[in-house]
Amino acid sequence: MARARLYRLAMVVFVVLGIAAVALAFLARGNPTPVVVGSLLMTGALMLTVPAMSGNRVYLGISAAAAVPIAVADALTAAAIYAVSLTLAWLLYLIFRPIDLTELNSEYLAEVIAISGFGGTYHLVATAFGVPGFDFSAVAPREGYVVIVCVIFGGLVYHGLRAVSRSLIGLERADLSVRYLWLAGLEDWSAITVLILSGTMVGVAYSVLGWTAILVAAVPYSFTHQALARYNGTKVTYGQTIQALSQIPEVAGLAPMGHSVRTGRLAADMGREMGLHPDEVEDLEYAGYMHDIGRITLNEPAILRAGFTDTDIARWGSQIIAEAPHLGEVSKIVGDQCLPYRTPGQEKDPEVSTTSKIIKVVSAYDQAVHEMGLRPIDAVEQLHRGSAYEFDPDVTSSLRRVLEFRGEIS
Amino acid sequence: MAYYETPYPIQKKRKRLYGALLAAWGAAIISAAIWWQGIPYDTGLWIAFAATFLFLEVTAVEVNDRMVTSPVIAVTVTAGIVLGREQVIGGIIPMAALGLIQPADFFQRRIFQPAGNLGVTTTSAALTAAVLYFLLPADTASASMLHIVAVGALAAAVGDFTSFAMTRAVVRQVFGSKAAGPWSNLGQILISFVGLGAMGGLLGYAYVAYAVDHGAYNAMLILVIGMLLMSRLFFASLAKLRIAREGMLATLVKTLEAKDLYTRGHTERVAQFAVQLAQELGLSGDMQERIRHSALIHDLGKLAVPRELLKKRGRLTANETSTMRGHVHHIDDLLNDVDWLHPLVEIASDHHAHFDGGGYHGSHTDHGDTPLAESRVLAIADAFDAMTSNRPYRMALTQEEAFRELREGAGTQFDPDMVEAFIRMIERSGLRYGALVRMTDDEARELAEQRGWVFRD
Repeated sequence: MARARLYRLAMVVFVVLGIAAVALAFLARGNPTPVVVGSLLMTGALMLTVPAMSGNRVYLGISAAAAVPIAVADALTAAAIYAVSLTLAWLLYLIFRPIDLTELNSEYLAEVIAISGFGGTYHLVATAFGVPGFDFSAVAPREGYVVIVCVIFGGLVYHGLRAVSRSLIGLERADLSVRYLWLAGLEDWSAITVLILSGTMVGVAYSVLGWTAILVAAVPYSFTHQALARYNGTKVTYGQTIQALSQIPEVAGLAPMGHSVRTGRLAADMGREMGLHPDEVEDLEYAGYMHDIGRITLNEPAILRAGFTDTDIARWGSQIIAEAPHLGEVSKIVGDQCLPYRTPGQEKDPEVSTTSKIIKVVSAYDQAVHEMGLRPIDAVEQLHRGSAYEFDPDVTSSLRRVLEFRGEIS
Repeated sequence: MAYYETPYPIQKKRKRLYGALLAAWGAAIISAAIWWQGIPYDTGLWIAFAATFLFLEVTAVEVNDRMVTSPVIAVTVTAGIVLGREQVIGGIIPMAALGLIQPADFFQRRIFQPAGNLGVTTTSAALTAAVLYFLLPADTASASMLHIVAVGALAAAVGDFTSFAMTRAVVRQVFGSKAAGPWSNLGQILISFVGLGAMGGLLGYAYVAYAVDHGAYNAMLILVIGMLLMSRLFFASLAKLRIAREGMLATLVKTLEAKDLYTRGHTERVAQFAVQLAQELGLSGDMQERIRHSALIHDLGKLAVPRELLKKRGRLTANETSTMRGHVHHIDDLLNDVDWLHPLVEIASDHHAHFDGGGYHGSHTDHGDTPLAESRVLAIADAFDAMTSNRPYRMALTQEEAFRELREGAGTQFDPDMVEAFIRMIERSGLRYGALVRMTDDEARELAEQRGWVFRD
């Protein structure tokens, strides 16, 4: 239902954009070369993406959008290039990647809104500086500074609008909180800054260097592109190694098979549903994968003789994870996973983080369903019953909502 | 964090001598540069680039063991082109001296490092400046862009190669030959310096071309500096990836230790022996790093071996032996989905494979294949440590007995050249491993029984 509504909204925007593209191209027909070349280049840029540090992909189109106004020095031509290339790229996405129309529409829809906002702001600021119609030669030799001011304001609007549209479009998905989507959108600022800077460089250098201006921006950009890809590689390194680590107690027969991966995934879903920061969601996922890693010590005869509690297992696990310098937070979550969310007399224990409480609830839920064989709805009921000290009712409610969205309980 | 500690003999006298010489040399170069061209008259431009340079130097990152780097070479080349032939010598050589003191030097009160850096960075900047001075045209704006870019790349290559070679030579002279390394990714890092030089050339050219119409302080200066600052991410991401990998390896090792305490010292000692042998053999930094990392995970397959077997006192039955040997396959299964560990798993899973193709191979080689050089190094390090430490089922051998065993296996189980290199290296180090006294088998067994190391048959 929600998806259908989103799909309709995207189609309306698409049609309006298409009409605008045809009209603007018609009005700018006196100057065809820049419109055709500019549109083709910007379409190409819109078809490419770079992984930002958050793991989201950022379209290279914003780089072209920053270069176009100063390079063509005419508002109508620039608007025509924006409209034609945004429509063309959308069309190409629909033709060549028709896997999940709604998902692509929602992400690209946010991009269309944000780039339009960028162009509009650029125009407003330029007008305020006495350069209506992007005829920057009117303020020469200071035109470069005016462009930089326009780009800074345009970039801020692009960044904000992109995050807002992504989070509002995400409202259609009941399992994702607006706060999470908004924060995730804002996380991409470094990649966006790099792209806008490179685009501005092309635009400003174009007047003196011509097409070689693209090379001047492309070489520095390629270094940053590699860097961004490598940051993404770091995430993959953590993700894959941690998943492999989480298998170890299971392979050794010390923990039930599949428990840690299920816990990690469900915990991350709940983190998103509860609107945690994307970094916290990531830590939560890793903590879910590794929350039982302390069980690896359980075949030490001395330990078995002396006896142990869940708190001991959590502490040992936390000590193992603390070996990795950047997983300090994960180590803390795992160490605190057995703490009650409140003690007598308290409303909630402020020392216990939401992430630790989520791991506690999810681990217990998974155990109830997969080891004790309870139905999901009964397992959630059990957790509700434990809300005196053990399981935070807010977290349990979030679990219920995620399970409802997954269709596991009705 | 370091996994192993190589004893670096720090020779104080030598340190003082080299520090003083390098500092004096650096000061002489700076004085000569200023005497020749004077301080740059475009003071504002110089300050803008110097501030960028300083920022990048202060935020430099460790991309290899104690190898700290940043993309300042791009700033040097851009500044050289922007300042032009008349100011390049007096401009970029004093600028290079700005990178002299790192925050760590200040906090740890180090004197030798800044003194050494002064000599090294000014020499490399002097060569960079010389390339720019002699190869740049008098009028940069009217030259071809390709010319400027090529000069920029060459200047960066000359400067960074000098800096790298000098640093390595000084470290070897002062701290001993084993102190610098293992450094990996060197090919990638050195090539990227040339790329950064070309980038500096492009940015410098763009600025100069734009400045013809727009004056010295123009918007292009802001964009060029923005681009230079942005290139910081290149090495920062390399350092972050390195930390992630080291951290994950440490966690894997810790997990193994948690299951089996005996492995603790073993893993670390094997890594140390293997890296020392690799250095003795003159293997590349990349290979040394792969060997160290695979040594750290080589016993990970034991996590899937029941503990009773790992701790069993006395001989293993045939069945138990095959389970135990299966650990080389378990490592494949455990780490199969971890892309970055694949090359390491390939090495580690062959640590029981023999030089002549016999032994127990992992999934990546077949019976009859000669294992990779890295696996052969690992095999010797693993065997030597196993022989010279007490095991649940027998006492440690003496060092001589272990050497004899290695020599007996040379050509069949072990690579003969590597065995000789290993023995040479251990003997030269003057350190002794294994039991200190020679005992017959019967004596050793008696002692072992008294101490409860083995059960009577």
